[in-house]
Amino acid sequence: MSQGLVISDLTLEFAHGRGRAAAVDRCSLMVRSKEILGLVGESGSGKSLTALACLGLTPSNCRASGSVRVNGDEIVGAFEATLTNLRGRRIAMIFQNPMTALNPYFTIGNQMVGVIRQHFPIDRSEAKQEAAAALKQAGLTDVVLNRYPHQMSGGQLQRAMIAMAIACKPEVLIADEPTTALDVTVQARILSLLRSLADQGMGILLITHDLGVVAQVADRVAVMYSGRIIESGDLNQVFSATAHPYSLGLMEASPMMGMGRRKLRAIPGVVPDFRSRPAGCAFRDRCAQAQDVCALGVVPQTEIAAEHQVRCHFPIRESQGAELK
Amino acid sequence: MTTAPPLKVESISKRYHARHGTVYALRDLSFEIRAGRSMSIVGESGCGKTTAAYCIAGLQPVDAGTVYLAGEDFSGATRVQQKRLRRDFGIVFQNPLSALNPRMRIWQNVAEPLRVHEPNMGVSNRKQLAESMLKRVGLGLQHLQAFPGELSGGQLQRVVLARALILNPKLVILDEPTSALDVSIQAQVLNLLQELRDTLALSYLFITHNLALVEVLTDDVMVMYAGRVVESGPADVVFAKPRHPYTRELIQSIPDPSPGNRKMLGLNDYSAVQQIAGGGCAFRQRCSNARAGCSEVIPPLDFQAHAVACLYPIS
Repeated sequence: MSQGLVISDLTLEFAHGRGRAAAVDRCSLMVRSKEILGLVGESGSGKSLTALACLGLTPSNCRASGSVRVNGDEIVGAFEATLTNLRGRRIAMIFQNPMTALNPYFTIGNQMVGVIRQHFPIDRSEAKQEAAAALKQAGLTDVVLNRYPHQMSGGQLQRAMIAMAIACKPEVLIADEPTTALDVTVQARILSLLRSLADQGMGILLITHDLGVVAQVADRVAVMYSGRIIESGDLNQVFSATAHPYSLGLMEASPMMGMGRRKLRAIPGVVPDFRSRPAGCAFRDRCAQAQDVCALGVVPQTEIAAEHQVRCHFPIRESQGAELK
Repeated sequence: MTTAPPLKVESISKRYHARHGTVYALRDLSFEIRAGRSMSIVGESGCGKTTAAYCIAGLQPVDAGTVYLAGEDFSGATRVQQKRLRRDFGIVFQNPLSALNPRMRIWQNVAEPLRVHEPNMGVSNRKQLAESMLKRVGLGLQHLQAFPGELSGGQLQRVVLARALILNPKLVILDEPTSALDVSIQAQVLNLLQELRDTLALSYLFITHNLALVEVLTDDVMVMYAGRVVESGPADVVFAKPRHPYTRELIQSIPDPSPGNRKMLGLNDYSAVQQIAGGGCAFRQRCSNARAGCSEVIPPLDFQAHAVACLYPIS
């Protein structure tokens, strides 16, 4: 199946001392069309770097291996010219801070027309109509075409970014923390917009650190820790039968409405830097149930249920999970 | 004077002059934190919650109104008096790295308030106090000689907290203390804040945009919109039965971390709504319940235990 985005064994390495250190280590993910995959992790887990690799935008000192395919086209190792044709047209990206991602010197309309004409042989006025249509889809009016970024609010800018990303109707959209800088009421609407785009056929990789956001819009979820996917699967499956101790810890550390004065269950310690990641399971230093075997070699990925993979020697079984909760 | 409240604010206002006109960041804010209680201010960006914190802490002069710290007039005091009164509260800001002096060692940063307020105290005494305070917030002594740039975000926020507590204040102003931290680290810092509140009998004024954190740290909550308080009361009551349409919208917008409870909102773009000058309720253009009367008078806050500033509150 060549539909959507297929990442397999993607490794992104940086020079470190005499050797190399992998910021992203053999990561495999798939985003089908009409589907939102939520990629969750804390800062430094490598989720943003993975996103950049999907568009061939990794920094020049980063060595990529493995494969990223967008509807069958290989991104890793592709020529710049090939990438230019793919970016925007087949795969597009929206960033956390729209203010710095848009060019302050040009109007929204100008920037959008530029993107559209890069990919389609049409004149400016036609491109402008296309841009207006995309803005409308994102919930903005065509007044915005003549606005400069500084004349708009954060929520409007994020919509303009989404409009620009969907203007050329790409099959895959990468959204890197698209609502982190926004207020909750605006966030709720941007998430609804992403959901409706997916329902219309787009495949979306949604990167976030907020489990609530994932629960609201995603179909499947992958949890990343120190450059590795440690758990992935169907949204309901992963949330109701959480198998990896880190995923469970993340859920219990998230404050919720109506929990009152209850103490949160914090995960001790910090996320290890990828340059000093311990051998074996990267989470073992913070894990309550780590044993000697956790320090030995790479933890294999096991399928504990249909559409539910986990990378842990001692995955939490359902009965056990209820006990811990 | 037996039990003056740690903080009392009487109708303070603050406006900024911008190129496109005057922005009323704070209008007629009044509230009181009683001894042993804590208060949260919630609202979206631009609602005036950080301005409120800055005005109360004396980092911005108020245009009108009075701030009382432990019963004494703080906002109208002279510089010398203000310096003395500053001992009574500590502040924790959002970004710990920019709140600390990068060229001072960790213990020096923590001991800095002592240098200002206890000029007669010797260096070794200051260092000793800083040490015990750092231990109190859960930092090992190996960090004493480090510089702020060498510590992680969660550790730095502990350092800022230690500095805020070193003069034994009864009131701590927390301006988004955990929003720059990761979820697992945020939980560590929140647990520490809970523990310190209970053991040191602190009162918090907690500024946040994250409603889920309110009940973890404070008893009472104020919801602000466009520079005014629109609803206030005990946090559990306000969240269980919001009376203002804006509070209800805020609560409904929070993503629920259980996949069973999906709630999809419309795609309306409210951010285009400009702040309305002059009379009437500032929320009326976004409000689904707005009626003709809403554009005529500014709804006053009815001063009840669970107060609301709305002509047609949700019953």
